[in-house]
Amino acid sequence: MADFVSGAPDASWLEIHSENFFAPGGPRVAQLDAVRAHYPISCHGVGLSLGTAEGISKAHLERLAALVERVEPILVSEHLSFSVVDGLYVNDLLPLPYTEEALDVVSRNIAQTQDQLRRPILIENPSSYLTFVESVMPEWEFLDALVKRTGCGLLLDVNNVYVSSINNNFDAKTYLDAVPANAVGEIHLAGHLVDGHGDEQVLIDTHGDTVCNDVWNLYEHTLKRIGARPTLIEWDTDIPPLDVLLSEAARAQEMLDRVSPENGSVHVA
Amino acid sequence: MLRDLQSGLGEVALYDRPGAVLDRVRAARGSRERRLSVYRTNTLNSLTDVLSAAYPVIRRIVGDRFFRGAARAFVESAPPVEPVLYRYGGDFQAFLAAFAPAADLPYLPAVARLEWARIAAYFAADMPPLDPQRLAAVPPEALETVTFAAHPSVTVLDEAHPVFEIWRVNQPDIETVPPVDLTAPERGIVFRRGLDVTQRPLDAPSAAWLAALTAGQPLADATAAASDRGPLDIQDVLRQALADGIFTGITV
Repeated sequence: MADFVSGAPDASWLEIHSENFFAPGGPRVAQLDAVRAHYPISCHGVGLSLGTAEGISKAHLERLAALVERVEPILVSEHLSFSVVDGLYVNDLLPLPYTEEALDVVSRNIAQTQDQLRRPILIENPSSYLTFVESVMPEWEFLDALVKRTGCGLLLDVNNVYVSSINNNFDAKTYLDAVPANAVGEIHLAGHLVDGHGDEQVLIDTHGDTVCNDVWNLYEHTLKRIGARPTLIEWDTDIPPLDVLLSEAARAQEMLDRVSPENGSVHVA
Repeated sequence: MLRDLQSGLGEVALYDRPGAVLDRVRAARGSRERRLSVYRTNTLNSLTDVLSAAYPVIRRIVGDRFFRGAARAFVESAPPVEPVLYRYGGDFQAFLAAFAPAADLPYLPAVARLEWARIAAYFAADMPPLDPQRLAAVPPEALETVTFAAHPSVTVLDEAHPVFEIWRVNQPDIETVPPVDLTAPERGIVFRRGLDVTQRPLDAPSAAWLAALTAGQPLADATAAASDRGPLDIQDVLRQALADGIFTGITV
């Protein structure tokens, strides 16, 4: 963040984790104000917990609304998951069963959020490590239904689709081909960790490595189908030298340029 | 139906208890316990990282392994109650005071209070300091009952251990920690001046005076209480406090 205060680095937009800027004052908020003057901002939340059955926190939604009012972001996004339960906050994106009941809950929570923010939000597909016996539809159908019911958009995380497809044994291209193309407002790419051996091996979404070749191929496949979209390469842990980040960004930009020279821009965060 | 599934997954993530949801989940291969454990591990690691970022000196004193054990016990005893993690971990000092494996390190809670005071100062609201002219304009007969509003970043510490010294010798650039007399009490004030978190050790009467004033006690009461702790140079302490922006307003 500090690197961007001067406005010198070439980036077409920046993405922040909304909750990191909820404090009322101090250096972090001051940096955000400085960065805002140079770059459009995307607010990416992890704490709204759109899947929580008892409803979302009004206090949290108000804090998010205050941030959105202050930052005037180009995009606002959240996750298809839950992280608040029984009054406690689990600092992870926990999975939802894809049932009619969950569809009602998430639709209601998205609608409430969009009403409060007075704008549509993007919903990001999660990385998942298991499925539920009670699920009655695949994730892409659930997302499609959310788009139809609430008018929300999608933040398509291609790495998450890949990670889930390996862990839960489905075809990633089937998923990517079924996602409603017009609803996708942003794409995320990231690296993951291959953890464990044999039957107990699981891919874990860490945002701590380069994007793997399979994910690059799926990204290119997606761009050919839906066209160029603003793309973010997430890298939150074990952050490498800048040239590694830039070469990842350059690879994504090349793919975007092949699809459409005018639309779409890449950023690394 | 969804509600009890979510309670069960919360139990997995926060307390490593998979029993309630095991029969409702599927693993494409391998065991369901292994798949659930990914959520448990992610949750515990991420919250440990939050505590580790807030308490680097505690972590350096006790070592990574001990810190991870203490963090796990703390998270299980007091999980976050809201998705606003800059406010998570303020109770760590009370937890450490009662944590049996840390009984040999009685100064840890005091060090944790200092580290938390720094976090609180870092994230506190921005407020302009009190203009000294306002204080100068108070008529002498009204001075005794004047009260002060503290800057939101301020914490006054009064500790039985040398917390500022312990903090100083446990910074990353100090390779070999010199001997410290762990029984020497230390007092001081932590605040943010502009964007910089600052800590200033104080003698006992000065700390008592600022503690009373920042708690909203009238000037005469604060002075009386502080004078019980030893000689107090009000002019000197007040000048420094005004320069540090410790106060934001007065009520006459």
